[in-house]
Amino acid sequence: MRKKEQPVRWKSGALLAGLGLGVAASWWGAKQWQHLKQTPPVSPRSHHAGLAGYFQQVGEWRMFTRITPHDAPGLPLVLVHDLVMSGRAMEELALALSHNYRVLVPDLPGFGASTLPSSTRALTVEEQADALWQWLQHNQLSRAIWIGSASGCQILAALAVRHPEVVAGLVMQGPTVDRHARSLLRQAWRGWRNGRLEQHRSPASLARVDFAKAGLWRVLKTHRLLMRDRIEHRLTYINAPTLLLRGSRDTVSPARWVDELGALLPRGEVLTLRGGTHTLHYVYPWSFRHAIRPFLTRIQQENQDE
Amino acid sequence: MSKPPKGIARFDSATAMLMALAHTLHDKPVDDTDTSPMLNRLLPSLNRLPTRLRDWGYAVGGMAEGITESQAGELDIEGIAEWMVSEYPERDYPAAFIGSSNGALTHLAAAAGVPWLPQTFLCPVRSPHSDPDDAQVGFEQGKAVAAGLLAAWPRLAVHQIQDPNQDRLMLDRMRYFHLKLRALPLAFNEFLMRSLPGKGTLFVSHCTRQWPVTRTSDRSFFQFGALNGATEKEYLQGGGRVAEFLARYGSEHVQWQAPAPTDSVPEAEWGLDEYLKSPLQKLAADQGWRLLEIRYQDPEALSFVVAEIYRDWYLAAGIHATRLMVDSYLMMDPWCAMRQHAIPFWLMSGAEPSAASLARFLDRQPRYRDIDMLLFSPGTASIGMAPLARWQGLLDRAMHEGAFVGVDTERYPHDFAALARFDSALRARAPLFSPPPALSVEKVIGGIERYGARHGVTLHKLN
Repeated sequence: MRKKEQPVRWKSGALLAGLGLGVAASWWGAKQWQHLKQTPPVSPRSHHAGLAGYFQQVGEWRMFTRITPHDAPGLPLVLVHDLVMSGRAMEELALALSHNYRVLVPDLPGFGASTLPSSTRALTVEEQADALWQWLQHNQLSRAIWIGSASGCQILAALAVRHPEVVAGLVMQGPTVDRHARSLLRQAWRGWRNGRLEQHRSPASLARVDFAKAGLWRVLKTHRLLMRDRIEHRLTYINAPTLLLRGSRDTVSPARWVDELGALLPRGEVLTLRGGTHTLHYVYPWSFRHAIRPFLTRIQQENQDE
Repeated sequence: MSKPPKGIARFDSATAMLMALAHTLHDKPVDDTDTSPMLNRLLPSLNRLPTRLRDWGYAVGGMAEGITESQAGELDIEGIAEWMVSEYPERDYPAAFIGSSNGALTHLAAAAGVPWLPQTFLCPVRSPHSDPDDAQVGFEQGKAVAAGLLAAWPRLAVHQIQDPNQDRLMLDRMRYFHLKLRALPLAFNEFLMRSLPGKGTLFVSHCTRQWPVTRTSDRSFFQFGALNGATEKEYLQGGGRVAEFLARYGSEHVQWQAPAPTDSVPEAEWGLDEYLKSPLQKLAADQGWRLLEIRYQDPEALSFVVAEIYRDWYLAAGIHATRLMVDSYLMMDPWCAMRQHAIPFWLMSGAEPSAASLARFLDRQPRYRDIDMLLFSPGTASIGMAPLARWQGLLDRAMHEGAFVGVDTERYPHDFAALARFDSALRARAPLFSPPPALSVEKVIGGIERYGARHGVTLHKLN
């Protein structure tokens, strides 16, 4: 009888230990998640370089904006982040551009420091564009040059169609979602391949912070909304001069897709940054700035009176 | 800091110098085990084996760092450049160096606390059962690999090098391709723009040393032989020393039959391909940097100049430097040199011309109290290799003590464990002090202008 009891006791002991480990791991994971949520909206390095930030109540949204230290004449630049990341990933690009321009980096509602209660539904691309328009009015700005990255370009395309008067020029870097690979699985595969190229300066740690701040439910819902949005249907209606920028090694926005978008834009031009990857704004911000400067100078000259 | 990616050899001069400098800028000694713990553990055991087994083990270890011929066409140059820049601490630098590899330049950059980006790096490609002495086969078989490498990145020049005198141990199993960047990879561009503020200084290290080569395409070359104890003439036309060397190694050849040279181009390992200057000039103009070129023909010429700059640097900090640290090829630790208040003198190899350089240097210097000497083991008793007695004679010029550091004189030139051992041995030689405050860019410029001319090192404005 004793011989039979021993394995049962051993098994229940292992089960208890497993349960204990599981509880401990969950507790540790929850603590880490909470810790990530509390990450300051501006990184210490950017803060030290002079990047400031402020909160505003914009309509029904409480939005956070980063702003560069120097005031420069001419149209301001507004950097619109990829969803479901936040403006934190664009801080270095903002600082790189700040030598010549006034740069603002808002966090779109529900992301980064512009948090929303988890009960609030995920905003559509059009709603995000309208929030951005409201944010601009709230900051007493009539027009700007808008620079978007990845799905930030989808928001900007919607903004340029719905509120063309606020768009003096557009820079769209690595626009999504490639209509030839419009599925979560294929996008994830492309993202993974791109991540392998960015191992030495990976934005993965920022992504973890932004995922924690946005909440997994919002991340998933927003991904679905972005997947359904068709940027190519909007581009023909954009009259603002638009620069499409892509890295030659970008696996998420391949050349064929970006060229296709370039052909749809009435005033579009395509620029390829040799060697660049998808997260250009984060991995190569100074080269990004260097590449778009001639375009920015031209738009500023065309709008000298503003 | 991380391990080098696929396609770049850790036993290459550029890689080793970059890692030595990066460690110094991170305030760490070179043998910090974060990048090669396995190697550090294996090499001492390897040294206990009989010579032939030891050579075999070293060659097989080196082979692990090579890529296959089919991988050549997919070589990730941008990834390699990313790795290079990621080795350095992320901060603003008053200056940066770029261009030819040079051990003395590594010390100079370390003293100034600034990075150096190499134009050239070694990509070894596996080729088992090769005959190091068969230049024709090496030349023919290398063409396809060079074509693959050229396709991998269109702004590359490929210099295949076959040096059976110095590299015969590895050439049994690999072919060597030195890749020269004729344009800046995006990672270099980004790093320089991010780290060098406006009005910063970018120094181009320009070794003008040429070598006769056989052109295999508009951007690929085959170089037979290299800078060491044998002369260009001996590599191409043979001679008594070559015949004796080949007989000693049981080769069926009595002299090497290299393909006829068609051009003279920058030397594969040390020379600068001047195509790089144009993108650098454009970038410097855009960013408002001062672009200065340090030009020299003999790589060791810079060692004389840097030693003098170090002496002045120490003196300005109230330190009377009495210790000389003699580096050998890729064996160096600028971190240790600065902390022991030692004057570094880098030698390209263990061959007689390098011994003659050191002798010339010592002739013109007040006697050093201590001389520490590192000695790289190539695994071959090559033509022109300076015997240990010659080095010992130079060490004996020290007033107090001259010693080989981390060198097993019984096993030299098959003492591979020296690579894992030399740094800890160096640190044990003298107490470690705080280094002087970083050398200013103006002092670097002033030093080169003051001491360069007499050693054939000149400084030129490129913008």
